[in-house]
Amino acid sequence: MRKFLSLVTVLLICLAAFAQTKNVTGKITDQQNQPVPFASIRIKGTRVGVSADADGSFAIKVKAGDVLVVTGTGVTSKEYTVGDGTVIPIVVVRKESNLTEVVVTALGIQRQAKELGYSTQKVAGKDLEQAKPISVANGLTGKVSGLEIQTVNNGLFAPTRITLRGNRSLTGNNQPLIVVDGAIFSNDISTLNPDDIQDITVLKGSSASAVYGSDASNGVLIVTTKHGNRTRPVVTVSTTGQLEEVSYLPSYQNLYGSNGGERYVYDQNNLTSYIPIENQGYGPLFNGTVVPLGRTLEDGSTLMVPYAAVKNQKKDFFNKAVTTQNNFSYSAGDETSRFFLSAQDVNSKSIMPNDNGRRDAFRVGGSKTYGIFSANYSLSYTYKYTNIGNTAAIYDDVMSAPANVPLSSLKNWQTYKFATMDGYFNDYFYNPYMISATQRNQTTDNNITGNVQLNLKPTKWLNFSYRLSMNNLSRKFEFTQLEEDYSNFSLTNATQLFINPDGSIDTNTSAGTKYIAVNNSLTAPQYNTFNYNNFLVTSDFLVTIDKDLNKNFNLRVTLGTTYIDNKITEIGINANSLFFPVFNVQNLTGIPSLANQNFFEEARRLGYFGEGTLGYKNLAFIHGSYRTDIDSRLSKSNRFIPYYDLDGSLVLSDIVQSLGNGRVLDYLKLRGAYSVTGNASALAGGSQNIADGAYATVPTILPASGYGFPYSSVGGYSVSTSIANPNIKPETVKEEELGLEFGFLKSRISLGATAYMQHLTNGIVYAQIPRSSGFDQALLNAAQTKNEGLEFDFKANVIKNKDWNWNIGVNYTYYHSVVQEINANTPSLNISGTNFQFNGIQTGAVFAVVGQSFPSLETNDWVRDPSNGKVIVDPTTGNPSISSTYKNEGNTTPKDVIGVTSNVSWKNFTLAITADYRGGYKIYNLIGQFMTFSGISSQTTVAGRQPFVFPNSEYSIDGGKTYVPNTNVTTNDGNFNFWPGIYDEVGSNYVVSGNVWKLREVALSYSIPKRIIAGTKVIQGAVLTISGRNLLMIRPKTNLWTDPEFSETTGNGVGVTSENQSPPTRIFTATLQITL
Amino acid sequence: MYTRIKLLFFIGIPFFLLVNSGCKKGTFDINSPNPNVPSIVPSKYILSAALAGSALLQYGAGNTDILNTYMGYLSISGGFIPNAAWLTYNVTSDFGSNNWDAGYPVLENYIFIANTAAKDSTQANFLAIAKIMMAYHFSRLVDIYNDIPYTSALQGSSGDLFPTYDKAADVYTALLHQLDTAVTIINNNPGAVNPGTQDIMFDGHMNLWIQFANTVKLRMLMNLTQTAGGPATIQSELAGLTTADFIGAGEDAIINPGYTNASTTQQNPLWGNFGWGPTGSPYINETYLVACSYIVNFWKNTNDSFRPTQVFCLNTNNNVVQGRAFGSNNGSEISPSVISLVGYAADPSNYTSGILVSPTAGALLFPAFESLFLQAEAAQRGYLTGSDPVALYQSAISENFRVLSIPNYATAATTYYSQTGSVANQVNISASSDPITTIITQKWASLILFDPLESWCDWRRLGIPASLPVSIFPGTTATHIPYRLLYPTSEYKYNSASVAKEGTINALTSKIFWMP
Repeated sequence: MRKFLSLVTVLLICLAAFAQTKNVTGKITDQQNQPVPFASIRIKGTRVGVSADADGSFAIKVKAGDVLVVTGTGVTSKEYTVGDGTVIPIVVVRKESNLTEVVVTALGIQRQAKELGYSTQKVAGKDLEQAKPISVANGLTGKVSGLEIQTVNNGLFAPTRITLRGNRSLTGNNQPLIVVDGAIFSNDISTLNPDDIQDITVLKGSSASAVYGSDASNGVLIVTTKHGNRTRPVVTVSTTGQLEEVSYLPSYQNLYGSNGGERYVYDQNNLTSYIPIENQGYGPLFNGTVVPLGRTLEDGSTLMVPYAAVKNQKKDFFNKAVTTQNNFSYSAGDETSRFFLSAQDVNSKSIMPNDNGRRDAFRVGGSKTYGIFSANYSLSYTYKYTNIGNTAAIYDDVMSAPANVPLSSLKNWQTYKFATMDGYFNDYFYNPYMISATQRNQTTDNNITGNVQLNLKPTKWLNFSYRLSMNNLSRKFEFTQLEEDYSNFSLTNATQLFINPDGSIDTNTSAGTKYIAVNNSLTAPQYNTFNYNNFLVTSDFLVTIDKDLNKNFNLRVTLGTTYIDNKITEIGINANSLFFPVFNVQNLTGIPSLANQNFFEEARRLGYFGEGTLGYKNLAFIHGSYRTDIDSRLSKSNRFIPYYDLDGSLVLSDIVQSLGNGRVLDYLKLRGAYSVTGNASALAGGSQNIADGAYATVPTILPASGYGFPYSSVGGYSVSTSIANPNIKPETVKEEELGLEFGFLKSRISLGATAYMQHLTNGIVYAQIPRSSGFDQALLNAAQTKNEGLEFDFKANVIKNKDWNWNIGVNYTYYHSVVQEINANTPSLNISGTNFQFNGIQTGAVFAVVGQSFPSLETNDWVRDPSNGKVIVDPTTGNPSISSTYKNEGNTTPKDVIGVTSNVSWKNFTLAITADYRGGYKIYNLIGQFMTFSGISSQTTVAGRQPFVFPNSEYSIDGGKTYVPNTNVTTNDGNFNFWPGIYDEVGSNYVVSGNVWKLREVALSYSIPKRIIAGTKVIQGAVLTISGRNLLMIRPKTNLWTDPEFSETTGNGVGVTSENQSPPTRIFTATLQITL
Repeated sequence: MYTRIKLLFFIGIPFFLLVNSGCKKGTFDINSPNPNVPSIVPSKYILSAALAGSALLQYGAGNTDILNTYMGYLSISGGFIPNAAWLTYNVTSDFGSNNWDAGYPVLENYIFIANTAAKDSTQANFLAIAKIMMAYHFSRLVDIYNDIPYTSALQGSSGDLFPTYDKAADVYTALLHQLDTAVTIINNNPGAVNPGTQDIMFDGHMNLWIQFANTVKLRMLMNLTQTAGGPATIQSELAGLTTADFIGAGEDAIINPGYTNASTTQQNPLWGNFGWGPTGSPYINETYLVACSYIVNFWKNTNDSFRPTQVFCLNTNNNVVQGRAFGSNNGSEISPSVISLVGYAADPSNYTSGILVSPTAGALLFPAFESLFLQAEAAQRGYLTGSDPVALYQSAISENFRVLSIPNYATAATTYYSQTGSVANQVNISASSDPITTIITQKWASLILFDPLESWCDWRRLGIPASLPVSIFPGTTATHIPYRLLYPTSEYKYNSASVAKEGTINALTSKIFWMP
């Protein structure tokens, strides 16, 4: 540490050496102690001046007695006389509140909030990381209206889906463009270190982002990273410890032991015999007697366990996972330069045994000004490694283990004889601990992003800038599987123990051999690997003119071009069988398969754009933008498609003075916007990488692998069954937006309201077409969707006095997308990409359906009486039957979203809380089907495993003419012959409301008072924070399964959860941050 | 100062706008062709894949399984949840839809070959083969669905996504003409490029393609025997053709790209339907579809001790080939101990012969015995002058015994078809009082698993075998098996306007145009 401090001192001296006269630093804040960014500070009577940074910090060389004049948009001018100190805090008075905020808009252009005709919202970096999330996306959740962050799974660097204003495109990307420091960011957002972020501006609608043209329709997240402050050097170190544990498990039964129909199978109602080797829980009630579990081992021993549920049996399988985060940053600057350097190490574990990951992020950023020339730069490198097991297989094994299996005692699968491959009780599945240890997926990512921006400002109103930036992701994936063989005894021993109905233990010597031993799939080591590289370079030129035309009119114009080149290469090899577990393809036996994983793709795009704002007396503003793109993926005739935006704002409270002078209302702004933007990502199957759609318009002839080609000496190729369309155009999104913003009580209360309507036309779909055309799908511009929404943001400063400060924010979002057309003759389009199947029956999928919400869930259902919705049962068997057609269950994304934030500070304590609600949607829980199949679901016990009258059913008394309510005909079985095989084959039984309230973040921090740390001299500040994430989840009782936010995909087909998502968790963290 | 700014302004802005635009010509022409997969490949590589597709259509799961049960060859095993729609002839649009949904994309490959080859006379052989195979597939589609999209079908790549339907009789007329054209093309271009080993059916022997074309034509013509103008058409179409012009004994049309047991997609397609995967695990149809009692009884009644054990295995309870009535709901007829499965042994490693020869055997697209039965009928009806129906018939049975790898097949066949007495009408054409019935009955018995569509055609045309049973599944109201399949769901979903013009179709009453 001493060495480190002396290094810092050297750096400090170096920087100090630049100062010739007295070098002071300062910070400009408003009356509420909020920083005032970008104000200008000038020494009175001279032309010497600097401007403050985004934090309000500045540095300037002065002499004592100089008078500094501070001016800024929306604040009263202030004069400050320099005294003896070197630190100058300047408090200015904001004239109005939100309207004067300076906002970074598209292309990095700074505009006043009052000018904007569209909706934007800024989230400060410190608000993002108040609860120390590992991914930036988690820190944004609940804080911005119109922005939905869906964390689709737990685990390492949890994947998220981000949407602004819901969904528009059926098969294209609906996630916003992410722009970091002005350049398109193509790497995963989870590679960003949240600590590096200055702020994120959310451009919610396509009007705000229109200047991005054919990428613009989904809004933009503009991320600004730290580039150093104009203050004395500051070193910040922090360390965070995080504990994650399972918070909820799917509801399972603790009453019945195992039987999978082995004995008495034809005597349905007396299926009571306990079968020690079964994974299906359709046996008799637990009674506490000691029974065998599994088969008798080769040494003659048998595991004997109480026939009773094991307490916390499933929860104890999962780890309490500890993750550590260590952060270091160094920030410095003077009047002409700024510098920022950071490093972060995240060492992460997951609740799943053996899963671990690491992220190391490094960043350097800064700027330097030489007269009319200035430059800024940013370079970051993120190493990300994840090592995860076969989650679905493990979770399914854990969940389906009958409740009397002492699972956590079977952890030592290599040494404990009842836990080994041969000794494990289950005849049909492996020990989950063994799966976890033997099958691993390792992904190593190296992400590099960097950009350099050069600015030339020959005069006050003219600026030229050039920016070159690049993103590179290089990924290596490896799947490894160890060989595990069953002993000869397991392969041949056909003896099983079973329990007679009278409770006596009996032996069946011809019961067949251990099923999984015969069907073992782990008989050879396996190795699959691929290398993937994604390189994106962008080159932007901008010219900005900002000129007061006369006393009343101000004109700001930006013109520019942007060039993008994206290259992706991948090569992968599946070595399905190796001689030895040395994981390299050269050890394989037989022929490796290339699995269509060797390709190169490249696409380029050049955009020309311009945008301008005309302001009148700072009261009325009109803004427009225009863009056109040349896209290498499109034909020549589809180049130069125009995209544009027209928006304006009127500060009514300034125009009609009486409005703003009232004691209650102090500002009122009206705004409106109209834009036409595009999206061609459907060519890339929804990928944001333009290269992924590079060849979608080229007809191809594919290797006929479906017919087994190539054979040893004969090659074979087939015409692609998908019709390429050289004339495809980008999708068009027209957006209309209207908004009102109010400020009350000297802006202690503010309210913003926005209504928008988006209409997508020329939607790109791979439409299903009649096979008689020779093909099965065609790439067409055919779909239409309409997307409407409302957004409200309410903020209040409830208490403000010397010791207390309490801010509350509430945001509400309503949105709703409807499919208007898919293609002539096409009523629906499968968005999941497949129909989920159970026991070979198609049980449901997520669809786009004409006339319905998008995305929309459809599942199979019981056969019902269309007149009253009752389930029709057979008059003799009492069993319902399964309908062969799908039923529309409704939308799978929330229609109503509420976010609540509260931030209370008292002296040195701050308590920040974020909660949110998502409602008005359905999810489909595939895990429920597996749990019904295995008899572990609590749902299977509602009728005590006895035949029962199917609820809300009816039957016909005359062969289908007249139906009467069913009050007396019970199902012919209530156990093994009803739940698996009948009930679990109906998807609608597992569709539940996704409504949920979540307490997302609670963070309590304590700034250690200066007087305590003053003695150390070196330490300038210390903050201790404890926080919790996902502490509470309130769901309807019908949701027996999991977090409704989870999803099989981060694509458009959200709304289906399965055992691929490990159970929901709760996270606690403690952080100590020290500023030097 | 001001002029400097002005200068910067007027030079700077155009400069900045142009630098990015200063991309070279062709900068944005990088996305065609696709560097990863071809847009153009030599026709011979498409031919091999298309022929493998044809074989899979003939034998793959989901294509002819239903017809094998309708025609009394196979039954659905006990121990599975009964598929009531299948067992009661409640035909839905999903039944056998693979014939259409996979059939048209295979046809697309043939039309692609034809369109490419039509521009280049050196490719004449490819053009002819494509035409023959298109006639082969389109005729089968007519035999299943009656009216089908033909003239406007397969035009998706030129923008016609919604084909209209042609009258079945018109399609037949056009196909007969196409077959004649194909033969003429081959004869007129002796120097054209030969497809060689990529022709995985005839290895580039164009004379065999001519015989195959004539045999496909003969099969179509025989379907017309009961139509009003049929006999006249048959007479004129067969004028000048002799038995030497058709597929003859030993000339089976066998497709084999080099089937191997290395992966599921590379196995012989019949093996891949009724057999075992590369690791030895049985496919679902190995246990789902079992011997039907109707054909087992037929063999028993005609003293056929040769074929049953080449087609089905013996049950382990009493070592006989045991069938199950179609529609039976006896749940105990589930295991190989009771009921016979397809193939002659329960262990795949023992296979060397029989109907499931091996995973590497070729697939019989058009067995010689089928051609010989067709010729026998034509000769018997007097359409093939100068040929002997008796010899053709006897050769057909002998050829059937050969492909079933019955030991000393010729002797065995002679023993079988020389029987006299009460079975004569079913086996012995010389002693039969109704030779046509004898020919068609034996044709039906021979086509088991090979081509149930052709025996379905014969039953729909002639009502032979007359005793073909209907399902005994409770609730079956049909008195005969279906006459046709329904257009697939994909047509009703995506081509609704065109298919609607075909009106309401009933699988039990709507007829194929050539049905009496």
